Amino acid sequence: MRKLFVLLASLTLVLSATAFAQSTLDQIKSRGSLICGVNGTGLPGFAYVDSDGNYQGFDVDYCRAVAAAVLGDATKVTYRGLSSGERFTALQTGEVDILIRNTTWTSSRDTGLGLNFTAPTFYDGQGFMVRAASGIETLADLDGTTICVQSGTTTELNLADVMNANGLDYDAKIAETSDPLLAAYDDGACDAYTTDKSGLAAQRTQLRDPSEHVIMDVTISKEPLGPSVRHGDDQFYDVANWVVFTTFMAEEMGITSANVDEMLVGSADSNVRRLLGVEPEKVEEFGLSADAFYNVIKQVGNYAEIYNRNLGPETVVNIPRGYNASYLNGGLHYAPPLR
Amino acid sequence: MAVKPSQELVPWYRNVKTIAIVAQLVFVALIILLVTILVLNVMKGVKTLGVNTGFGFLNNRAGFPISESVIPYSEDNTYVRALIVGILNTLKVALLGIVLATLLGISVALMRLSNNWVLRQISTIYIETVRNIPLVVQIFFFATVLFIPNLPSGVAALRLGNLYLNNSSGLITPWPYFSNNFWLWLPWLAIALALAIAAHIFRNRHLKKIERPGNPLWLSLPVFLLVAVIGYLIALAGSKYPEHLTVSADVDRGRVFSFIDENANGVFDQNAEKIAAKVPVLLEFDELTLEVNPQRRTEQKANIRSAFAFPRLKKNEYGEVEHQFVNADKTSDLRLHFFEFPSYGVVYKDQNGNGRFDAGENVPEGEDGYEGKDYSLQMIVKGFKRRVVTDNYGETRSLSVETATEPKLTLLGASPMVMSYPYFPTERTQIAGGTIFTIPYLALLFALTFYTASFIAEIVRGAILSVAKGQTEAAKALGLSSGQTFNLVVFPQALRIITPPLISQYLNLTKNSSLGIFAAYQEFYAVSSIVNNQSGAAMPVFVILIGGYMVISLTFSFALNWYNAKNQLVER
Repeated sequence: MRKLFVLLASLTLVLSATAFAQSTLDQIKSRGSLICGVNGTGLPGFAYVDSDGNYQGFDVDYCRAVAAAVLGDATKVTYRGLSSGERFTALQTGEVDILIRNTTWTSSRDTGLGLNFTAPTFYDGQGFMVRAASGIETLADLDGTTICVQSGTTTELNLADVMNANGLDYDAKIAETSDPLLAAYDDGACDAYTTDKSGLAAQRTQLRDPSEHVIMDVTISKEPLGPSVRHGDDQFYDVANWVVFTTFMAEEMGITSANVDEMLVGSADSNVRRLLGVEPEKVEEFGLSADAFYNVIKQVGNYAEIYNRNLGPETVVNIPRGYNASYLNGGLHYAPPLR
Repeated sequence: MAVKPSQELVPWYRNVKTIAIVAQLVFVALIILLVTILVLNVMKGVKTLGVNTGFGFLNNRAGFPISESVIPYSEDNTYVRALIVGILNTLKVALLGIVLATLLGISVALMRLSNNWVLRQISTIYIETVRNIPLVVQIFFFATVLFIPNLPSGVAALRLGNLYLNNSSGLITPWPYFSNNFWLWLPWLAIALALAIAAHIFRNRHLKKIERPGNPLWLSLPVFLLVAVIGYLIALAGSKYPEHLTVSADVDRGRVFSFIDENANGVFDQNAEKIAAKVPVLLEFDELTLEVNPQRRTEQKANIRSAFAFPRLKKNEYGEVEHQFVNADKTSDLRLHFFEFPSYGVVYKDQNGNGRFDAGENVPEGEDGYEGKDYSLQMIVKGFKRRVVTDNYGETRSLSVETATEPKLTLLGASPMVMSYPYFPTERTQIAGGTIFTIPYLALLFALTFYTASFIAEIVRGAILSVAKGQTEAAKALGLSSGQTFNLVVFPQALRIITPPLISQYLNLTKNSSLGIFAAYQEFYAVSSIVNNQSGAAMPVFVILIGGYMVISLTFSFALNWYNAKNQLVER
């Protein structure tokens, strides 16, 4: 009988634990670490494990930025590598606090999956990679080919739509993760490989002879990629969203990780002073400490720094900024005012 | 006062009977409580997240492709159909896997029991290796280590008669399809089956009566085949196409269409007219020209330079064929070496003058082609003819041609079944006609077969060894040969022991097929997870997934348990 009571008591505990769930922000603070869902199979430039065993990349830097804002330390991140099929379940069930895994913002993910997307961090579009030797140059040339495509992605749907609309016949070779697909493409099992163009640039570097492959000058979709959080926790959504905006604002205002300390003491611009927490109330309204956004810039950098470090001309991936420039340079990144 | 003392002394709460009942009630109450908590928790979670819980989404357009399907499927079909395709793909691999694993398992068991030392060692090594490696590793091994990197790709497919094997499609074989005249043959098949069953029962009884060993299949099978063949010939004679059946070709896109041309205008009017499926057509060109650029690498492996590939032609598909270089002055010293005449090979320059192609004699590649001149290679085919069969959408790829005269299309005779042979419509990877056993399918089938067979082998071996030695000795004493001893005495007794554990191996194999996702095989689980991902309806999809596997497993185990009950020793 005693055992029975213990069982009942623990059941009651489980019940009460779920009933008084903490907000995501409090959970992260009490845990002392942000759990961030990233690409588990590795996407050079965006999320991959370097030779020292550390996660690196554009998406990973945004994980670090959120950790810097919430915990004041960009290193306090626990990474969870996720496949494209696992990612939404992981976020919905609370296995990860935030999902930053080259995920496209779509209406059905907003509504049906119960996600909230922040401002896109990377504007992408779907393209195709083919062998330079194959003579495939236009969409029509893809008629009668085998195309490698990852399952559970918008890529899969876009491909079907565009091929259907153009009356083109193709065989899809489908896998859950990109590694075996890319290997299959490299071994000649597919004529073309399709995913977001950023992904193509990154994955081309993993092929045996990258110079043999070209990315076709065809874009078939809009793919705004960005972090996403669960429905129902608006406070954390605001934080995630404004961490992204902070990186945009810092670039707009010319604040970098190198000069942020000078700006902190020397700037008379009240926009800068609000952002860096010299005038603390705007930042504190998020439920963060006054130096939260300062930490983001200091420890991770502004958008241009993040971009150039991971995707810029110095890197193997080397993707031109295009739409991903600040609006000041004709791009799409634009932060609302912090006031 | 003859009251039994015990009844008064024990209060109700210490009565063993009461305690037993109360304990059961408490147990049931706990289970109900647990389930309620789980359900409430799920409902609460679902409510906070605001996700889908209804099944209404099932009728929405699926929108995603599935790489192989037993029934016609396109992106425009619904989620329901996609899930059905998944279930059929699971059955397709599980059923063949079960048959192959059983055959392999029994053979290995017999090898392990044989007196031959080599056979015994081979089977022992096989069992101990395969049984101890996780199935996922084996699936991965077959798909990405053995098949994809080692097989040729696209048009360079290995060929044996009408069988092709490459890493882009898989194993492509000729295949008979049902045509619209199949219903003429169907009653004959039913009659053949009924007669065969009757013959089987009759023969079985007769054998029992005369107390002779023998297999009733030797009577029932020929009966079935005979009636089925006669029925087919009669159905063939009566087969005809629907009125107004027309075939047309789109030469530029290399396609042939079949449809019911009701207004007889020679064109398919999409809204008013119906398509005709599975129609065999003969496509003929008097003369056609194909052109490729050999200085570029074609669909071959990377190490083949200055290679060329045309759509692969079979010997019976052309009358005469000649190759010529275009737009090149210095091509007179260029030679062609064929991997397979006339379709693909390599351009070379006979540097050492021995009259054949040696490694390294490929024409050097440059930005501008051979010796600074961009040139191409033409193949001129005279008397081209190819038999194609349109698919369920009344369409098939035939041959992509740049310059050709109009083709001649001939409708071939109607029949209950239409044989479709594989062929290459382009120089790229896609193969048309026949049917394809894809690489993911083959990899999963191989892995499941090898893995499960190693367990079956041990079950069979154990069962055979469990039959008392006296039985064998008695059979020998009666003068039975060793084959007869095994077939008539040992195996029937072993079978009773084999069947129950075999049932769970079959169920394991079926459920293990859900690991097909690791070979990119799109079975039930893989399709469900895509549906889940695209629709966001996690709960309903999981309910369907659980229900689907339960139905499959229970059906299998019901059928096999019936067989088991039938074969058990009847004790009187």
